[in-house]
Amino acid sequence: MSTGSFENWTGNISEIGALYPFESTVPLLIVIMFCFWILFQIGLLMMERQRFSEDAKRNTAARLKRLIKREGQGG
Amino acid sequence: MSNELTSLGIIFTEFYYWITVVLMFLIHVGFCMYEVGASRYKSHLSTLMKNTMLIPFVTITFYLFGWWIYFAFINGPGINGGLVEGVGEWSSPFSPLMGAHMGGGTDPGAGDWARINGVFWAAFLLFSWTAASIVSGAVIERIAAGAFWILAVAIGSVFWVIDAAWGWSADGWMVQLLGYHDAYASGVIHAIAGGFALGVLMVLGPRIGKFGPDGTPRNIAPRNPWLVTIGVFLIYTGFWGFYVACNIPMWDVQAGDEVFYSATNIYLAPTTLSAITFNFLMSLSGGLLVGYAVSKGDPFWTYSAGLAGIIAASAGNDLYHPVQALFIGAVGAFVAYKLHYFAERNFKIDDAVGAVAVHGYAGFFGVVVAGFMLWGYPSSPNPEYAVITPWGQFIGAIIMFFVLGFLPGYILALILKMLGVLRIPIELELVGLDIAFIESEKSDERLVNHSIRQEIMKLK
Repeated sequence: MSTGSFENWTGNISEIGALYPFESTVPLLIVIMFCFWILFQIGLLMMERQRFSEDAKRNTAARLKRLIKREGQGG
Repeated sequence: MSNELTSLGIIFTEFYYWITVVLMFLIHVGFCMYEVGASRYKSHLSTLMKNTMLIPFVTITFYLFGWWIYFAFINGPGINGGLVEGVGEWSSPFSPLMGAHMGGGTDPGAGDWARINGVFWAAFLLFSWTAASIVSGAVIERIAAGAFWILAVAIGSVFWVIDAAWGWSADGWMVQLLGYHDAYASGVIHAIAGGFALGVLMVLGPRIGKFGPDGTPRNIAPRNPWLVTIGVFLIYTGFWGFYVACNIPMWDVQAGDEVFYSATNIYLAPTTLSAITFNFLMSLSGGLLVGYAVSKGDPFWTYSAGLAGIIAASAGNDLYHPVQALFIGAVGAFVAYKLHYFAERNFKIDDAVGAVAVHGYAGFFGVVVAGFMLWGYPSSPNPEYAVITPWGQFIGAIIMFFVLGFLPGYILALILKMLGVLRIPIELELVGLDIAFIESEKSDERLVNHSIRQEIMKLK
């Protein structure tokens, strides 16, 4: 039994095609990969917006306050 | 693969492109160093991640459709014919040849190509990374990374690939009808990426503080000149791989029954590795000299001008004399430097790393100059294709910079802006993109210091 198209290297090598296993599942894998890409492309965009809004609530506001205070002292 | 000499040729070709991929990896390392060095401390890490993460996005999409576009879009489609059929046998993601394959079996298109497909795909993919990375540098410190990665896929896996199909393949319609010649990608990588970056910059706008209230530009100098200079040195190094990847190492270039093997450019016309070695170094030298002089010894611009010199001569570096390459590189660097400041002053373009100038303007210049220098040369071994002319090259440069570069960049950036995802919030730009990392590090450090103090107290 083999998950690939060959079970040993003793046959005629020139007749071997694909080396990877589960060849028949490739079309399904491609469709999953397409979804994987879209998911990450949109997901990371959303994640970044989320981070921006969290930063605005916590880190950015505090840091901005310090910056404004420093500018005020300088002026 | 049963004949020793034939096998040697195939395995050599496989190894040849594999080496180019390894070398071109350094271009990306260099771009990352350059960008981080040019950014301010408060945005270092986010700048690095923005450029690094284009790698998976462009790689996945180039696998899904970029490689297929290169072979299928040779005629436009719709300019000199339709979509090329049958190319999916080796370039579609569903093809068995888009993976480890010994070339046997009943798969259509198998054979020798089975060994070359992966390394050839990767060589093109590394060009895709470069195209996206050029844009990445121009927009630092204010573009949202999520928006940038969408733009990276557009330039890296769609638009530059279309221009390569049109003007950087043996039978592209631009080669056939315009006699377009761009051996080492002055236009097909650099002008298009520079044009795309310009389109994005016009929508994105400058960094806060770049221009005074009266519009006077201010210099935001690189924060880490060492990182910038070593980064460009690495780009120079990777460029050797880029140049060699633009060639085909062994091809029978003799028409008729005779046989004559030579290296060729992408159009299957003869050249030699010596030719491009001479010309690469001479055009680099011309750019460096002029860059140093015109920028009065500014390291940032001297290094960038070296790159601009290579890019300006690249379109014809398969055929130029080394001294011609030297002077073309010198003039190209001068043009890039002057146009950068002209655009900055007059159009308020904040190109943070000079990417539009070094790649876009120098690339455009290089394509046009090749039309004059190589006027009347055959663009291809096919005698029925148009010869190289100044007007063919000028139209080609317009297609590269404006049609496939500037316009898509501008339109896509405009769409992202309308969706409200293009630019980072103003507060974040003021305090820096790394604020979350910095605050988290500070918090961790406070906790660690607190523990250290407790341990000291125990000892007391």
